[in-house]
Amino acid sequence: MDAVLRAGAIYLALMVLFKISGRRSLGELTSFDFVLLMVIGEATQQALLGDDFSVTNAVLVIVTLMVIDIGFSLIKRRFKGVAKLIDGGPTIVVENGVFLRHRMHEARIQEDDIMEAARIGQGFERVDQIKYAILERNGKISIIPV
Amino acid sequence: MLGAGRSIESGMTGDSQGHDGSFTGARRMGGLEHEMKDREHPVAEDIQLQRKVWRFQRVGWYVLLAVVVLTLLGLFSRGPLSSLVTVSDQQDLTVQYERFHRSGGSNSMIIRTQGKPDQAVTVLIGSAMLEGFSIDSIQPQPLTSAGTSDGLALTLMADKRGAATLYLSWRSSGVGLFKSEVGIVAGGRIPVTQFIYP
Repeated sequence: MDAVLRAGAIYLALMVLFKISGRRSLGELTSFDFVLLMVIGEATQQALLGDDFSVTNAVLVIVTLMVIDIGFSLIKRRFKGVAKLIDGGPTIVVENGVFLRHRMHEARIQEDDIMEAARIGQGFERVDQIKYAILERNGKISIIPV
Repeated sequence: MLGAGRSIESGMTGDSQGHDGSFTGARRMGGLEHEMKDREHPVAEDIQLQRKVWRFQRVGWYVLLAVVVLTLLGLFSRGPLSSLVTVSDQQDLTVQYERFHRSGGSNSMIIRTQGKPDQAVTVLIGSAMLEGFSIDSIQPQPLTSAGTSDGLALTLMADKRGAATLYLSWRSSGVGLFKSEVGIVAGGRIPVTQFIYP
């Protein structure tokens, strides 16, 4: 019983925390983000296993995490509203070469982030070369040229 | 990573409520309304839901900040809110302990007694505490220790000035609220209320 409760509690806590930190937090994974993720993993490990280091406990925890994860993906397929609530939707942040600043402000992204994506993806140097910039669900910014 | 560009937020709230009524204010408010309409092309948006998600993130950031501050203050064990020194009414017993514990963690407790010189004194630790915690270590070893219906009775030898000190290390094993007490047989009693987080 312990293993299921532990895995469930950690899964929910991590889901809420990563929702709060936002899509941007992991969209562009820098090496520092990667290190941070590993540290988060280390911090979670003890709470997941408790003081039971048996193979059975490890397998039970992994099975529970998978069941919850697959369960959520099934629910998301079945109910589109839930999917939107959990994953959000794509958001346009540049429209016909104009920054939508209120949206950018609320989404906590800056012009630099968009221009960086435009340079990397399309080799653009000015915002008027962009028809649409879209903040995707995974936190990446996709650029559609004029 | 979390708090970018917060300074213009208050200005924006003002705009969306249209308090200033000036021309620029009205125009900017129109801009906000225009921006927050759903687009269908190139992707179908639900901007109202998205704004709720963003608001949740802003509020969440403050909640996380509050958790960090409360942790520093000791709401989750070890800090000003948690550490406590209590003296009994008769001034013969002092207990230093933590109010908050975390399951599996260990914390110390110091019990000091003040009585007659060179005499044995028996400290009684309530049974509720023994249900929620297990004793990791106990220094010095008591002369005798006995389990009674009220809890654990530990007999110590007082020094020349009549003082005796017991250092205990408790490991939390239960979860929830534990109301117990530490007392001296035929002496003062101190209620000890402790909470163990899962």
